[in-house]
Amino acid sequence: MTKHWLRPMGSGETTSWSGRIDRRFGPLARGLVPLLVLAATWVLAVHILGISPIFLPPLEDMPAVLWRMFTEEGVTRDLLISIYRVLFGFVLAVLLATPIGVLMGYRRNIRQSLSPVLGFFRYIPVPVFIPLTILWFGSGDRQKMIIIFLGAFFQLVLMVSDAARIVPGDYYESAIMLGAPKLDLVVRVLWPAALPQIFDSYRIAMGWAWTYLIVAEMVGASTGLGYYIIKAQRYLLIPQIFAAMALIGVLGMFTDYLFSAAHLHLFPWAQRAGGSKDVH
Amino acid sequence: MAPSESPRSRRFRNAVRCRQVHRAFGTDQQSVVALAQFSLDIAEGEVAVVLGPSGCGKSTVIRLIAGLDFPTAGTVLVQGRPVTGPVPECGMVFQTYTSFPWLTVVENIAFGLRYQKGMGAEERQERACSLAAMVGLEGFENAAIGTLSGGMRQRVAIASALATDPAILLMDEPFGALDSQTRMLLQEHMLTLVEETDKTVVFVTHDIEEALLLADRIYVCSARPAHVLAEIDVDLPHPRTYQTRNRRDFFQFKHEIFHLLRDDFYDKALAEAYGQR
Repeated sequence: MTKHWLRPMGSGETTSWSGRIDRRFGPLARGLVPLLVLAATWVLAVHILGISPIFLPPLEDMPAVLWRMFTEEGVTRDLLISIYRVLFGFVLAVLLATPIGVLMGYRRNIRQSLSPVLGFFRYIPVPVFIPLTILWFGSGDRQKMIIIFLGAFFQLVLMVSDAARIVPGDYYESAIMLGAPKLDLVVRVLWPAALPQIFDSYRIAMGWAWTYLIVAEMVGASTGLGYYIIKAQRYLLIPQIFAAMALIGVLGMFTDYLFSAAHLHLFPWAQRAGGSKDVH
Repeated sequence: MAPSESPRSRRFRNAVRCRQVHRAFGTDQQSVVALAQFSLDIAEGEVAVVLGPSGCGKSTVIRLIAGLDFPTAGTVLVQGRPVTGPVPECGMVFQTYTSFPWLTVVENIAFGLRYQKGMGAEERQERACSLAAMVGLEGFENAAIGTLSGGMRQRVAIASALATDPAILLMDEPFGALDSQTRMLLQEHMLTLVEETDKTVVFVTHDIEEALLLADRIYVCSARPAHVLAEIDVDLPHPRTYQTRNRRDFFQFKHEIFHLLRDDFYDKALAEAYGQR
């Protein structure tokens, strides 16, 4: 019998479980398996180990809880407000961090002059800003957005500047020899070369934006998903806490999917070919 | 070697001049001297090959001519003017793949045309397509760079450099990263390009056969710090083809150059072993 790795590519059947799932349901289905395992563990833990619903409410109850949250408790409004805050804070961070990061990546002197101040703020934990921002901006949307902005901006600047910095010098020299003026080295070389990675850093920053939104909404808020969780905690509505967490998770998953789909669509040239090769 | 009577070598030699060029990298305490007392004169319309062992500083020569780097001492003149920055008369093909992967083949070739005065978008597109055809990339006009082989990428780079019609074409080991079959094919292609054009070409390589095949004149460089060991007029007949490699005088040239390089290598090695006691 031939060794499996000696078979010509594309011949014969794949025997791995992921291969079988692939053929029957498509590669997306592969991601469902760990989720199903997690759900099964949850159900088993509740029914076999007999964990009290105070600590871990049964999974089966979740659909009903979610239904009630949307129909009776008006979580839709909290959800939309949270999304609005995240988007606003995130977009603001992107708009400011991108040009600064690009310039830092392009010019060493700009990087050297801005790095200390950015490093200083980056290491101050964002929740520390909550009392001050409430003092300065009140406890409305504006303050929440500023917390999100602070959480995303300082990290984003660093990542954008790194993405801009690793653009190979050969590209610049090639463009210079073709007659490109200085401005075009940024606009027509650095920007398109670094954009895929900059876009990746947006994706990561989006995750932080969500984190800091919830942090901001847990203090001095009267709306939003974070506030909803604090409220549920106050009334010991444990299933609601779980359901709200799941909601955030699903939103995150969805956002992440959007980002990676957009990446694939916008930058087909920058897709990593394989990375670690799948050796079956 | 007998002085050459080929017409190209009799032209006025002022396309590129390096006069006693010295280039050291690093700090005063720890410096690496790439070029020392390096001089050459390249005639207009000539194919000049700078030949030398790897790491000898020959890439530095081409970067100095392009104006991407500057000498520590000495002067570099291009068309009679001292080089003070990137030289617009020079087009350059790099050793590494420098075509932009976010652009298609034609967009890459047209990149430099944007900076040519009085050329409309349509004209640029047309010229880029005809250049793509010239380097044998018909049918790949809209291909992404990432899908091309190394040889095809260097064809794109050559077409991009030729697009702006530079008077001087600088080529820094353009085929160095290719496998030997592809390299031979591209050398042949390069031959047809070179035979047709009256551009001055400065070509850097460590490959003796490549140098002989393409060159009107070869500047043989020593090991680092590089200086010109010998200037050789290659009077092999034109037009040259892949079969030029089989000529008796081709072998003689090859033999002679090999010995020049070999002697220099042992001289330097012996000097290093015994000279600095």
